[in-house]
Parts: sequence; structure tokens; C-alpha cells
Amino acid sequence: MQLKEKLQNRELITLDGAMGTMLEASYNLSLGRPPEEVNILSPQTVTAVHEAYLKAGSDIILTNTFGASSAKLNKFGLNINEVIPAAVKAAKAASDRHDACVALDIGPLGQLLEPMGTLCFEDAYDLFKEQVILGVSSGVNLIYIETMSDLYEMRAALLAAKENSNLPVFATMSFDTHGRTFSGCDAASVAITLTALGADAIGVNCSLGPKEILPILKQISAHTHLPLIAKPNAGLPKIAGEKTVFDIKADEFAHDMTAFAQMGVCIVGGCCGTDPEFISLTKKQAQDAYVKRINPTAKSSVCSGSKTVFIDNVAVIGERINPTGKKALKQALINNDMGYILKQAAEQINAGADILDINVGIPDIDQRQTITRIIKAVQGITNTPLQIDSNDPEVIEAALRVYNGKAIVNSVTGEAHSLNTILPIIKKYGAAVVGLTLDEKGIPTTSQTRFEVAKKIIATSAKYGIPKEDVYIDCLVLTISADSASAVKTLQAIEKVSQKLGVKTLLGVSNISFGLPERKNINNTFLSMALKSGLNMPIVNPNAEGVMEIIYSYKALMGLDESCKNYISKFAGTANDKPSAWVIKQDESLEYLILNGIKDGVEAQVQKLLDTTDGLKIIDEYLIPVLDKVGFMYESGKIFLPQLISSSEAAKAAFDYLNKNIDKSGSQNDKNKQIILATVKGDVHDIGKNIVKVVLQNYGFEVIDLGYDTDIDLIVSTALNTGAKLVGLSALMTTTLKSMEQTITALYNGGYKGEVMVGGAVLDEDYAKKIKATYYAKNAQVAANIARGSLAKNI
Amino acid sequence: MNYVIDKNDVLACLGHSDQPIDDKLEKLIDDTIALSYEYIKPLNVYGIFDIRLDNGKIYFTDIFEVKSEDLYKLLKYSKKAVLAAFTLGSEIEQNIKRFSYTEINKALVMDCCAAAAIESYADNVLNNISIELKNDSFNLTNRFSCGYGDFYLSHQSDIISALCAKKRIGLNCDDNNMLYPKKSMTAVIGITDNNINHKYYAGCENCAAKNICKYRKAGKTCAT
Repeated sequence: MQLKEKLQNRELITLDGAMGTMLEASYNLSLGRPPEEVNILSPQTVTAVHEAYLKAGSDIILTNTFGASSAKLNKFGLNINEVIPAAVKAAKAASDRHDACVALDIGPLGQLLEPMGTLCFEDAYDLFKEQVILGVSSGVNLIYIETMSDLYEMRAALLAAKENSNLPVFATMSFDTHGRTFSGCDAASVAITLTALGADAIGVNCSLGPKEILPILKQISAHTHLPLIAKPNAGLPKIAGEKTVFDIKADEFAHDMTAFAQMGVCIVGGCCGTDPEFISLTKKQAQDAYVKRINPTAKSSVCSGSKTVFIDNVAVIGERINPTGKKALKQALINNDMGYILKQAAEQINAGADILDINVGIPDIDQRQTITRIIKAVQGITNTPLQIDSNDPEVIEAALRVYNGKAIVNSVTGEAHSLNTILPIIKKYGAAVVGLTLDEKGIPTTSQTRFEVAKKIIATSAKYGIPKEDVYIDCLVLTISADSASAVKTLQAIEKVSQKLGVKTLLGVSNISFGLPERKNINNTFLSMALKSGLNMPIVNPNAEGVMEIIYSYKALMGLDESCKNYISKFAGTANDKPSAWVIKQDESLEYLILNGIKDGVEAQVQKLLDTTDGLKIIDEYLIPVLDKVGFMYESGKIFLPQLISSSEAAKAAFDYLNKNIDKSGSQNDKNKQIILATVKGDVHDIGKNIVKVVLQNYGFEVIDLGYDTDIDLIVSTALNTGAKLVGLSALMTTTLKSMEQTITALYNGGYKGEVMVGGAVLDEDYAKKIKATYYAKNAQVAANIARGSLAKNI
Repeated sequence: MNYVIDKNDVLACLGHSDQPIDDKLEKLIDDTIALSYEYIKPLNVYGIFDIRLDNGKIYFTDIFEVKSEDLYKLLKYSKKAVLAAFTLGSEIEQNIKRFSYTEINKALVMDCCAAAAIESYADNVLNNISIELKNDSFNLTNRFSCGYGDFYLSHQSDIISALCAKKRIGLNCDDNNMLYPKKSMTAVIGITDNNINHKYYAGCENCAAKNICKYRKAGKTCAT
């Protein structure tokens, strides 16, 4: 069968039905043994199942290798090098007698990938690669990846298939009754990501029946031009004793499947509970009903695994994870302080950023490693899509490889070298790209020349197979303090590019005011003007005063916010919720505010004290005594955990204000204030560690938060490089205590001279001693007391 | 809605006893409960299995066996048992993580909302099963999860594979016997004749949930 031609002409293709159900009926599989073993024990049984489906009319049969990863097979003492060739051979024995294709079937690995689980992306890729290579060398005609519920795992498998074969790759995922996959992926993000990454056909299989799958496939259909696949179960499953039964019969199934043929789904088949009768009836009825599909209009969009942002009017890109001119972020990148970076990410999302920019461009760090780590960590706490901000092809590739979804890459320029090195990477990983309107001659001085460069970038991208809806043009901003016509030139270029070239535009807004006082005046006015000129993606600080106000107002004014719903929900009532400093009563002392966990007004009280008192004295005579009182109240049960945290946060506001306003000469990088915190390798729980962090920061400690599931080497190297004298480790599970012990051993073997405190629900004093921790902290308050004692010793 | 997030359960989980709560915290808890409902996408799968008790071991048909004195005591009047798995999905988990980097108190409260929700969800699903079984003149024992008493966590994976929970509700179990999504649970419930009302609780000392149990935090036990 000429598969590629059939796909190209969108001819109806019939897959097979369930393999497991059929094997169970014809072969007495020992309990608990994997079905893949039958390929070796009784290949003729497997061939007979394939034969039955071919007779029923299947054009493609799937090998009996759904669970044939070496990770799974090894557990049963089976060898992948024997199982996959045997499975392909059994399939070919049947297909050779028919005009049919053999697909290497690949299912999920059965272990959850990071960030929800602990299997890392690279390891998952290697396991899939092994299967692909064996399948290809055994002679399959295509690769069929199915039943995935995690788009990230699907990406690993699809990349492995594309990089290790030239065969067509089909990719289907499973959805639940809420209309998402079990790991939360939505249909649009699945369709957009798999289309961009180069699958040859995509769709849905397993977990639900035809009726339930139909609306999901309709959503997928709206976001892809690829051939679509429907391979549902025989209805919904019911467990009856040790058997699973499905609730619809072959004729009803075939009838329901016609709905797919009518909407233009050209690849149909069955999953659990279906048999050759289902397939033969489905083929007949689908053929009669089949209508070729009209492709949907292409849209500009970016996504994560579970959220798509359509660039239809304005999407805000948060700019704060970019170290240019940001001392604290630079230090966090050097120290691997993931907690700091995640906080920047979360704050921008809370403020309303639609997309986050990630830039790690500082010298002296391994940028590839750093950006990989940050992308994984940020995607662990949010589904906001990301923009990878680098012009180094190696950094871009490392980042795109581990990114889940369809990212933006910022950027290419109109220079031939930039276009020719970066565009192939964009195409391969299926990203959108920002084109800067500059070339070998530098930044063009007129709007017309910038327009010409934009045209060139769009044309070259098209040559690499990148459609223009995936190219976003940056018309560049130069400060008006150097050239007073610069804003006008930029605005003209934006207008021209968006109207005449029909592409989306992007702009780093705040450069406009460089060198001027009160920059927000200029920035905010320019932002409004640029939006009106057609700017789609302003790169801004969404937490800066006025920025989101302008965005919401603009959308309301332009009729992009129906009945001003979003504007109202954002701003209604907010004026009364924020008491200004002067509202705070005279008797609401700093102590009162902290004890009651009231952040508003803290700064005003600290400023009042600063008028008469030295900053360090405020810490010693006001803050520390109040914190001790709070700690005592918590220990004695007068307040409970949320109240301890509220008080801590109020105290932190006081410390932050003092740090900004008092002379800190000599206090930078004070080794006696630094504490490293991490949840140990293998453990993804970090709420406890984060509570400890907040409380420690209130006592003025500088916490380097390495995040969760932390590599032992990273903890050791950070401890040695920073010279910190206290490391705090957290573990919530009995099983990861081992990893905690290994970390402590590695720290001391590595030459670490400081102390270690440990905490977590399953620990106790005895166990802490046994694993050679210096201290056991039973809660956050105790951790703070320990830190004060430990670090005071070192002074 | 097939579950509720009871504010009293949330407070118990937070370690609240009789401390006065100000308006701000009250609002945080109320708002977070409301928000949690948006993020929770509950799913369950259960099945009824024949069991055989023999010489200290419980045999779930021929699928797997368990050696546990506590589970044995729970099931001593039963010939069948319900195996069940519940999950709240992964969205709530990701949001708890996000808030733990900006609004730690909201993360903490949401974590407790999830704990309250999964208990309530399991109770409600089992209650429905119990009503069905009552019509057939059967009764249910209390629910017993892996990790209670000497019913070891290692049986999580047995229950998950017996129920095909991976495929049915996306519930995974790693080599450390941890469930993913984390806000999930598995359970065994004995089925007895209608005239028997049997309950058995393992006691806290041997319990895997000893240090994190919301009942213990509030000075109670799961049996009361």
C-alpha cells in the first residue's frame, strides 16, 4: 500500500482493533505476564490476530509492542532486542499476504515524567529511541505512538521517532470525561504542538467510546491541517470481577464511527474491547459516509502542554526573567536559586502575563544547562507558554528540546547567518520565531527599510517551511533620548508590517525611555500608542505601575473585551481594598501589624521609625523581638500555621523595606546570612520547604532555594561555590530519606565544612542523627531558631 | 458535585484547634476553597473482587495477594471486596505548587482543601456503592487504604493494575509506591452480609499517615 500517497490524498485508511482482548481470547497468557511475551512464546497466535484484522479490512496493523520499552520488559526478564523483532516478524507474516502496512506500536512508558513525576525527559527519549531503532531495523512501515496522556511524553516519543527514522509517524492521545488528558492537556495544545513538531497524522485513541471522543476530535480538527485519527474503545468500560467489559456492540460502534467519517477523519480503527467484526463494519459504513475535510484557517498561537494563547489581539509577554540590568536575578542564576526565578515567574502570571520571556544571557554560567533547568522548573508550576530569549543556536536548541508545547524563540535577525543557523532549529522543534528588523548593516534608520528586512525574514522562514503566522516581527525601539524621531519610526514600521505583511508584531517597549527620568511616563504612553499602531505582543513588566491598566483599558476601548467583563472583574472594588499608609491608625505599631499579619502599612511604620532610629537598631530592637514573640505563640499553640506565615510575610515586608533604604555596605553575599534549601532528589514535594524559606527570610537570612527533585551534585556544588555555612534539606517520603542521606554524605565527601539541617513529615530526631544531619527541624519556626544559632556560631 | 470541601476539615488539616481567626484568614480560606473547586477534576475507578482469606493472607481472586494482619481483620467477614482508586487530577497540584512560590498561605490552604476533597469524594463514591449493595442485601466495612497499619504501601501498584487505573483514570504509581497525581488514593473495602456491621481501624502507631494525618493533628483518630 502506498501509505504516503493515501495520506496526501486524504483517502480513508482503516486501522486494526484491540490486540490484548484478542490475545486473551486465543492464548492462555500466564497471569501477570505481559502480552508482548506472546511474540516469543507463540508468534503464530499473534500472526493469527493480525490475519483476522487484515481479513476484516485493516490497511494498517499495529505490532504487539504497546508496552515494549526496555524499562517495562526488563521487569519481566524479557529482552527488547528479542521482543520487538519477533513482534514485527509476526505482523509481517500476516501483512505479506495482504496489501497492508505494519506500524510499530509504542505506548506510554508507565512512569510519570517530570515535573509531575521523576522520570526525566532525556531518559524517556532514550527508551523510545531504543524501540524506534529496533522497529525500523525489523522493517516496519510506520510508527504509531498511542494512548499518551502526557504531551511531554508524547513529545519525547515523537522526537525519538523523527530523529531515528524517516518513516511516517502517527500520534494519538487519550482524553478523559472532562475533555482533557489525564495530565491536563487540552485538545488545542495537543493539536498545535504535534502539528508543529511534524507528526504525519494525529488524533485520539482509547479511554472513551466514539460518542465521547467526537467533540474532542472536533476541537483537534480546528487547529491542524494534518490527517485525523479516531480509534476509540468499544464504549465505556465496566469492571466486572477481574474482567473489564465494554458497553457497546460492533454495529452500534460502526454506526457511531460514521460521524467521524462525515467530519473528514480519514484514519479510523478501534481500541480496547473492539475486534475484527467492529473493524469490518466500521470500514464499510465509514467509507459510505466519508467526506474530505476542509483545512481550518491558520492562526498564530503558542502553547504549553495544557494552555494555548492565540495571538488574535494583544498578548502580554512578561520580561522579568532577563538578567540585563538586574543584579538579584544575575546572582540567582549564578547560585541556581530556582526559588527566586519561580517567584518572578509566578508574580508575572498573577499580574496577567500571557507569555513569559526566559533569558539567561550572562557569562560564566552554562547557559544550556541553566535554561533547561529553568524551563523544566517553570513548566512545573505553571502552564503559561514561554518565550526562549537567546541568539545562541545551542542554547535555543537545548531549551526547545525540553519545552513542552509550542514556544516562541526570540530571535533571528535579517542577517543570513542568523537566519540559516536558527530557522532550521525552529522548524525542527515546531516553534514560533521573532524576527528582528535589523541585518548586516545594523538597525535601519527608516521604517521602510525595517519593513524590507521584515519581508526578507518572512520569505526566508517560508523557505524553511515556517508559515508566516509563526513569524512575529519586532520593529525595534531605540531610546528617544538619542533620536527624538525614533518612536515615530517604530510606530510607522509596526503599522506597515502588520497591515501590509499580515503578520503579528512584538516589541520590547521600555527601551524607548532609556536615559530619561521617570521612565514610566514615557513607557506607558508609548505602550498605548504602539498598541493602537497594531502591536500584538508588548514585552513589558506586568507588575510595573500602569502597564496592565493600559492593556485592560485598551482592550475595553477597542471592543476586544465584551461588555468590559475582563476590565470589570480586574478592577471592580480594588480602590477600596488597598488602604494607603495614612489610613493606618496611630496605635497600629509595627508590632501590632506583624503580630496580626497585616502587610499594608508595614513600610510606613518602618519609615516612621527610620526617621529617628538606625536601621540595624530597628531589626534588633523591633523586628527580632516581635518575631520571637510570634515564634513563641506558634510553639505554644496560641496561633496556628497560616497565622505564623502571615506574620512572617508582614515581617518580610519590613526587612525588604529596610534593605532597600539602609546602607548595606559589607552585607552583600554575607556568608553568615546564606542558607541553601532544597527538596532532595526523587522528591517533588516542596510546599514544606517553601514555608521554611518564608520564615527564614523574615529573619533576614538570604535563602538560595534550589527547588525540588534536586540533583545531589547541584546541592554539593552550590554549597561549595557559595561558601554557605548551612544547608537545609527537605523530604516528605519515607522512600526519599535515602536520597537525603546520600546528599549529606556527598556534601561532606565533597569537602563541605558547614552544617546541615533536615526536616519533613516522615523524619524524626533519631533518624536525622542516623543520617548524620547536624540538626532536625520539626517545623519552620524551629528551623529559624536553628539557623540563628548555627550561623551565629560561625561569626 | 460529587464531593464537598468542608471548611472544618480544611481547618483541622491546617492544625487549627481553638485559635481565633481574623477576617483576613477567614476570607483566604473561603476564597481558596472556591478556587479549589475550579482546579479539582475528580475521577474514580472501582471493581468488586472475590477474596479468599487463608493462613494470614488475603487472596484477591488470583490477581494478587496481601499479607497483612490488619487487612485480614478488616476482611474477616467478607467473601468479596471493593477495590477502588480516586484522584483529583493534576491541575490542582500544579496550582498548589505555583502558589507556594508567591502566596505560600494560599498554597497551604489549597493543599488542605485537596486533602479534604479527596476524603469527601471517596466517601461519596463509596456511599453510592453502598446504597447499591444494600439493595442486594450487602453491607460495606470502612475504607482501608495502603499504608494503614501493616497493609503496606507496596500494594498500591497491585490495586492500580487490578483496576487498570493507569488507563482508566490516569493514576500512576512509581517505584517508591507514590501515587501521581499526588492528590489521589487507593482503598480496599470489605463486603459483608447485610446483618453484619463490621468496622476495623488499625490504630495510629503503625500507620504510614501518622505524621501527616489531619485527624491526629486535631487530636482525633480516623476511627472517631
